[in-house]
Amino acid sequence: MSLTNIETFVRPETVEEAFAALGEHARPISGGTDVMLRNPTAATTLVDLMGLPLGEITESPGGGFTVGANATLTAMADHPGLAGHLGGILPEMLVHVGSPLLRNQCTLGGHLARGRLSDVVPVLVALDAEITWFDGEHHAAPIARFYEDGTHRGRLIVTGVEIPAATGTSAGAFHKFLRTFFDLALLNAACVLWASGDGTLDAARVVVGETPSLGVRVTAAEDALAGVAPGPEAFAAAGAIARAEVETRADSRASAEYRSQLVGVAVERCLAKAAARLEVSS
Amino acid sequence: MKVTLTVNGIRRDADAAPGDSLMDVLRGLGLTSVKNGCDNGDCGSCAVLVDGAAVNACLVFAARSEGKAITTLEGMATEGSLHALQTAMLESGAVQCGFCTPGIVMTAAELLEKNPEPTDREIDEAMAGNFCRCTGYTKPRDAIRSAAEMLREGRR
Ligand SMILES: Cc1cc2nc3c(=O)[nH]c(=O)nc-3n(C[C@H](O)[C@H](O)[C@H](O)COP(=O)(O)OP(=O)(O)OC[C@H]3O[C@@H](n4cnc5c(N)ncnc54)[C@H](O)[C@@H]3O)c2cc1C
Ligand code: FES
Ligand code: FES
Repeated sequence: MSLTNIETFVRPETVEEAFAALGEHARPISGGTDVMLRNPTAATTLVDLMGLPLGEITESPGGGFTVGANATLTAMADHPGLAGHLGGILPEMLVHVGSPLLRNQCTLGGHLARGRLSDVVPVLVALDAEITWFDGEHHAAPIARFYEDGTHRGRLIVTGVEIPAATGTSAGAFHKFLRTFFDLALLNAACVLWASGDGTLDAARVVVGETPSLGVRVTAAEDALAGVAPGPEAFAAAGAIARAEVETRADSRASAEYRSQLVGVAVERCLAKAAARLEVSS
Repeated sequence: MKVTLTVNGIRRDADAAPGDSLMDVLRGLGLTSVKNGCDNGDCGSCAVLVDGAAVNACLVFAARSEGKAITTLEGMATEGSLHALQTAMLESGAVQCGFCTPGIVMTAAELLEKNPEPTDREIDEAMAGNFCRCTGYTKPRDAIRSAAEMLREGRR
């Protein structure tokens, strides 16, 4: 492939320089996999962000993580602390993002800036992660809001993600419906469960992705899970609530009705996986 | 413009446009093991190592690959003898039309570098982005397992 519109690359060294270099004809590039495939035809210049000091993944003493925008998805899956977070929800999801060849090249920042078809976003929503960006000033916001209010469409540089430390006895899981091992999601779900000391659930996060939204919390299902004993009945009930609550979309790969069925099943299976991890950890 | 790449340890100058993929530029240099199966990041037949990591060369810009160590299948054999993965692919009957073979060897080379004794599941996960329309994946998996054994025993 050749993007014949591209005339030059610029290679800033700071986030401020990179932001200043952006313009109608100058687009950011990180891993470049999406830029290559979806040729931004208005662009003549690509502003290469890989020279920015945004590649690190750091674990804070309290157990939270800062993941720099330039970290590849492979680096995230290989990071021992991140890989073990909440029972392994991140590597469980990352292994389903494209192929290892793709994950070696594509970055968290590029993935999140792209803002469509994502397995990563629902998991980050379930983890209560914040996205950070620079648009002349540094900002941080819950990841769901970044997409809901359209911030992601503005001129900005995604700088990274903050993942808070795990609290209490908790575990997460991810579930993706796909037709082959290497496929975009028809629908996906992510959840986190917190156990109380008495065999019931303290709290839950239930997120469904690949609906019209990249990752939507189903708070009615979360409320229904708080205070009840984890098990097939509770999970089926939460799945039914999610199916009723979540709007689904239709495209060439699946109808909205079919996706609606998947919502219930994805939530149910995802909760069962998280609960099995809770048992192991408690 | 001119792009200077380090391919298989040798500096190579190529005429390239800024928007050219690494795959096209490597093929232009005569390194035709880098196959264009889809030009879309789907098939893995263009896989090469960039600083040791296997990537889809069709999704990488050549102009951004300057200063990095690029390895293609042509760089795998040394002093006239095949790399263990190449030998094992041949001996296991994992090569039919051969179109996917270079990409499989390069992707597996990274796997074995990181994980000298992969399980079948780990092999399948590592090879998820390499399509083979002929062999049905079982023989390439056998070949990678047997190459791992050869490399562990110091054979090649
Ligand atoms: C074959 C294939 C299969 C895939 N399968 C999956 C899948 O199963 N699940 C899934 O979730 N995704 C999948 N994807 C999507 C993939 O995850 C994205 O292509 C990738 O994450 C993009 O990352 P990148 O670093 O290469 O982005 P780039 O191509 O560098 O950039 C993507 C976009 O973001 C902009 N940009 C880049 N970095 C920044 C930044 N720091 N700040 C602001 N803007 C920026 C660019 O201008 C561009 O518009 C697949 C992609 C391919 C090619
Ligand atoms: S040609 Fe690059 S993945 Fe198919
Ligand atoms: S041998 Fe023909 S595609 Fe694999």
